[in-house]
Amino acid sequence: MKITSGLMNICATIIAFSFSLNVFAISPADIKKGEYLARVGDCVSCHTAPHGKDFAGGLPMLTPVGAIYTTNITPDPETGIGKYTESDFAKALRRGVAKDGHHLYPAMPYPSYAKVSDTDIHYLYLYFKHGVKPVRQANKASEIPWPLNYRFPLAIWNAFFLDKETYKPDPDKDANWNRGAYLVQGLGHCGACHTPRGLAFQEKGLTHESGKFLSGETLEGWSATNLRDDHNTGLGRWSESDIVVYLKSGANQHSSAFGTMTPVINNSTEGMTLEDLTGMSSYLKTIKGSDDKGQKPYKYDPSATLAQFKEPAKHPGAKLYQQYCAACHSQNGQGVAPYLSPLAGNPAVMDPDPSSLINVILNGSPQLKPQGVAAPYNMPKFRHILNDTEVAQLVTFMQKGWNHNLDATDAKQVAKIRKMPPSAH
Amino acid sequence: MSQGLIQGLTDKYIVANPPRRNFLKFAASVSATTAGGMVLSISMPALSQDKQTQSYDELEAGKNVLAPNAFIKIDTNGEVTMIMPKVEMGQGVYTSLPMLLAEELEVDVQTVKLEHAPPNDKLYGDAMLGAQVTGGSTSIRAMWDPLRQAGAVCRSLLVTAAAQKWKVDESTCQARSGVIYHEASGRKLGYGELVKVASALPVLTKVALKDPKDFKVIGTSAKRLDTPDKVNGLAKFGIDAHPDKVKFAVIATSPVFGGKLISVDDSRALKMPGVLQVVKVDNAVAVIGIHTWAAKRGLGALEIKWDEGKSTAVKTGDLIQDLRDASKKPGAVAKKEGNAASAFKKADKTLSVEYEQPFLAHATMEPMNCTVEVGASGCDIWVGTQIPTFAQGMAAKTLGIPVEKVRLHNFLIGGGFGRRLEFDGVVQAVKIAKQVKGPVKVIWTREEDIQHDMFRPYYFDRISAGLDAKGKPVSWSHRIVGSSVMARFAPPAVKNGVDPDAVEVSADPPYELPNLYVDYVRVEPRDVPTAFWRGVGPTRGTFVVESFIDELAALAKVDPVKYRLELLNKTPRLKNALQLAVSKSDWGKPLAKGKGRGVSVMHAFGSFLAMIVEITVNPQGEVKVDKVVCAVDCGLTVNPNTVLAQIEGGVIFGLSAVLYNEITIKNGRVEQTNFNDYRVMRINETPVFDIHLIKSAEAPGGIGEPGTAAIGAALANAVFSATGKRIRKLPIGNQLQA
Amino acid sequence: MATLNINGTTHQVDAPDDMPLLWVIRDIIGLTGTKFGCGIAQCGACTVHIDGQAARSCVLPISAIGDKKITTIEAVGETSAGKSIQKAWLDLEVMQCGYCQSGQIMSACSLLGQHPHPNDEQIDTAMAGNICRCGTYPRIRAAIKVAAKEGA
Ligand code: FES
Ligand code: FES
Repeated sequence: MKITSGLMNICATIIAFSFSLNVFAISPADIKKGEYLARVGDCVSCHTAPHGKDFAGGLPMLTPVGAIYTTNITPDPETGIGKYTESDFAKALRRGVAKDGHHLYPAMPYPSYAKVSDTDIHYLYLYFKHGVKPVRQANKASEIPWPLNYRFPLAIWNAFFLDKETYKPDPDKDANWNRGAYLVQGLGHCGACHTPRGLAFQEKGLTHESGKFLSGETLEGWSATNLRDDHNTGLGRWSESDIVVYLKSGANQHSSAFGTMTPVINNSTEGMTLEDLTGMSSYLKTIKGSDDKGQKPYKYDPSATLAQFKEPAKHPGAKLYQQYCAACHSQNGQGVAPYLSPLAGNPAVMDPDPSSLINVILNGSPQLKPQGVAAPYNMPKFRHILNDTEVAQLVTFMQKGWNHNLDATDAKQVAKIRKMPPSAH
Repeated sequence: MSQGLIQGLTDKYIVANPPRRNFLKFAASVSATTAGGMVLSISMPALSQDKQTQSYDELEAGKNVLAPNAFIKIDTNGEVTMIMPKVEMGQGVYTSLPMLLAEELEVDVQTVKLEHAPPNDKLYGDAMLGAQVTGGSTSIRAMWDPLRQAGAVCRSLLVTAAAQKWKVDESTCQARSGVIYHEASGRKLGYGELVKVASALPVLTKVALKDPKDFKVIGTSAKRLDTPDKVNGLAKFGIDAHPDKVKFAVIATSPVFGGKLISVDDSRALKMPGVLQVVKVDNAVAVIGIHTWAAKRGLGALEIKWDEGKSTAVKTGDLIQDLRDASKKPGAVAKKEGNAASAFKKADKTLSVEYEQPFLAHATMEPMNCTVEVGASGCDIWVGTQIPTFAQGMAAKTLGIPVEKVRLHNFLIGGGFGRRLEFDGVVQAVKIAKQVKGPVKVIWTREEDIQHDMFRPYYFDRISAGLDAKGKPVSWSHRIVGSSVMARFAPPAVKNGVDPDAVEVSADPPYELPNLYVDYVRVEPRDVPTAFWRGVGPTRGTFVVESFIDELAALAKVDPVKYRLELLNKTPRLKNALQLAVSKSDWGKPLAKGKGRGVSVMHAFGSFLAMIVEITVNPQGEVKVDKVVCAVDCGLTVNPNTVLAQIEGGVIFGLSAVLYNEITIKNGRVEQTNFNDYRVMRINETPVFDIHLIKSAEAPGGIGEPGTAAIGAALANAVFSATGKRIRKLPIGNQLQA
Repeated sequence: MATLNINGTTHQVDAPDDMPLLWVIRDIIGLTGTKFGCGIAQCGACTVHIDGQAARSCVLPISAIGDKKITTIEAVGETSAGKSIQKAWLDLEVMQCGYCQSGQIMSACSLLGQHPHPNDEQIDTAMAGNICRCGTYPRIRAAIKVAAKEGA
């Protein structure tokens, strides 16, 4: 094997970490470890364009200030990260600073990756250097308008919002919990979607110590649900094993993954070890909620909803539901778990922000394919069939239905999401 | 459970030697074997079990059946069976054609049993189409004479037989409801009792036909023969074929047009319960399972690598640009009368516009499917097809075996609309079945069906006209740009570069147009396959011509009905239809806000139609079609109720397309997938119909397609009336949204 | 192994839990009157009755059926609503190709079971999930009304 300067670099790094490794033969096992970590980090979902080559970038990320295109992270020396040393790589991952010194937009979850250990960075580097096929594909400029495209303030941003510490285990908790916390906060970067962001697009909390951490956020027209243990809108009614089953297969007795969570399952969590998933669920279950901001704890009761089906003329939402939704999700809202998602009591339906519901009705969901096998049923899109008023009626029907008693949705909210491009994820 | 009239061919079909029959000849007198496989006998109420196990040869040898020609079989019980030269796709030919036969044969049409014909162009070819094809609204027109002749010849044999038995003059015998009467002596004999004698008689080739004024069956709304089995689930469509030990296949075809299969990782799929085998063909993968579900789940577990070829970046816009570019150069001249160009220069007012019509899928209710068994003795194909002989021939070619070794079993068709005029699905199924032991049923998912349809071409039209001071058109030039389906389907039909289908209606508008120039530019949409679609040329042509004439009326500031009437003198039947439609509609009455009324006329397929459509456009720009008034002159009407049904259905089919449908392409692949994004009109959107049939003694015209052809322009013109916006590009979609 | 009660007969079927009833009925039991049209509950061709209620069998995993009674088009004529719907369908010559009609009839029968005298709104609600590419809708509406009248 040719010893490249990159390898020499690894060599140096390794020696610095007093890590025992035969530098002259990069072991496939180590590359595999890196591959697993890349899977945990779900790098491929963002760094691959639709119908594009893996890791070659080009996926548009819709941020409030404009679209950003993800970059080529294959080891191509010209267009990718082929010339990155391990420390360049670490800097990009954990500090959001590219090799040429420019600052990455925080759509790249480097505030989370800052928690990743040096060892894991090393394996990841090996994988991206030696396990990924180089693809020559130039990066696309972002569509963020001036002056927001001026990246220098990102350094200041980092000074404010970037926690430069890697994950520190909590000695009061067991290894399982700590492993879970490390993954959820770090490589898993759950907070990148599920934690609310501030005005500066910063996540309002990077660990459970913050009351905002993982309390739900809307991104790209999807509302990533609350992952704290709120009874109605969070994971309060989910057991640890419910969470593991969900992450492994994309569906459980309460809900099915859809929208932007689908690639996370397909490319990441489905392939994680049971140990890691158990760790994550045990960690998540310890994050206290905020009692659903005063909502009454949900109790399933379909009677009022069922009555609506008898008088379709008076209940346009029920009529539409009957026509387009009931065959799979059933009149009683219970679906056929885990194949056809229940809607009654589903935290995604009980989310006070209807973005996800609107979005999944308009755009359907990508195909879940855990373990390489397409899930038997898939949510179709209805944007061509239902107008904004009808979608609003349907969403409202579900928000009120089966004793959910949530606020109604209006057609304007639907119109807004309809205009957004269906997520490229 | 009642036994079906047209029941499955699957469990109890007879495999016989090729039938010894010839067109309008006595079976007994012909000994040459005709090409074309086998006879399909369908289990029927009166056909007893033991007879079904007899082959035709046995039946005929024992003279237990009278079969004077390819269409009729009468057994000694008097049961009349008609061999159907056409296929039933809902258009009602399994009733209207037996009516033609029954009229002359003098039997009650309700007692006629039906069999699908085996593939045989010689016996069952359509004279208008030159082969055994169901399409182009020709069924009645092409079979009108042959079937009445067939019935009449058979009746005359039975009369002769009775006369011989009774030793009386033939002219004293009369045929009525399956019985020959000798009034003078009060004697009578049922047809069954005459079979043996009649089948020994020399057959006539031609006898005198009835005067239409004596018709007893033709012109009545006889009950359909195929429907009793359609209300109880017993009717068998191709997808219902279920040969013993059948396996099931679901396919994935290269999502990009022109793509090829590189490799497939089937390791996961093969581990799934019920998955038997993964089969590769050049541009597709099939998973074979113990049932469709296993196959489908297996397909979802494959990792397929495609060589997407050169079309991966193609999008609809590129294909439209191809057409637009080509439209700037002159094409092959389809019609030239007078001098349109110089008249244009001299005109008082002129108008030049462009029209576009999208790619369309057929989306038949029954998705594409084909069941095939390839074995040592040849190949069996179970499929509903509009082209049995082509399908058979292509299967033989694919396998490299003689055509006689391909036995094609035709079925009822769950919607054709042109899709089942193609054999792509048959050839693909044959290629799959060749690699599978025993019969395999290939079913296309709806997604496959829509994405790998052969599409109605995208058309780009440039049209311009000049009006004189009175507003009359003095110049008319029309250039049609698009794919030529004919050039692929029936190349000899394309003469001097003109595809006669693509320019139909456009090259012969019903109006008096003194200076007319029509040309055609053929542009193929790269790798996108194209095919006929309900209403073919007249659907595309009528939309443009009838929209444009409406534009001219507006330009001339003349009422669009009045404008048309003044120009329709050379087509009096159409003018008459228009006048009738207008008189039955509220034409001219004031319209409430958001309401509109549109008119169009159509002459093609030997029929004349006028339509007036009323619509409401809501503030969101959504169109609701309220009412369709239609006057129809399709010549002599065989079955009025069928005509009404075809108009209703044809209009609704057309409305789905005009309001919603387009196939768009992105990254070289079709974007639409299923009925959720290829929207089809539903019951709650259906307009009220008011259809008027014009009594006529003219030759019957086709009626399966005119409704579809006529509705587009009428609707677009109604949109103009309601909103002032001209629809020059279909579908209407969200063009009216603010 | 699942036990299904189809048209009054008990069937033991060897099928996975996620398998839609449609393919069990068609491919395993061999009753082909129930049709496949879309597979995503958007066309209605596969409609059957589960305890008398219309259901789309293409999205009905057999694990959800339990001991409920399944009726298909082949047996719906044994109910009084089925009989009158079938008769009205024939009297009014509703059908064209007929492929969608098993589903249309099953939906219509279920409608009459719930609303013996349905108004247009109720007809729309019950029937809008059933697509007919041949465009037989005007006759379907008329036939439902005839059947309702005759059933009265
Ligand atoms: S096949 Fe079930 S609804 Fe279409
Ligand atoms: S009758 Fe053909 S699809 Fe309905």
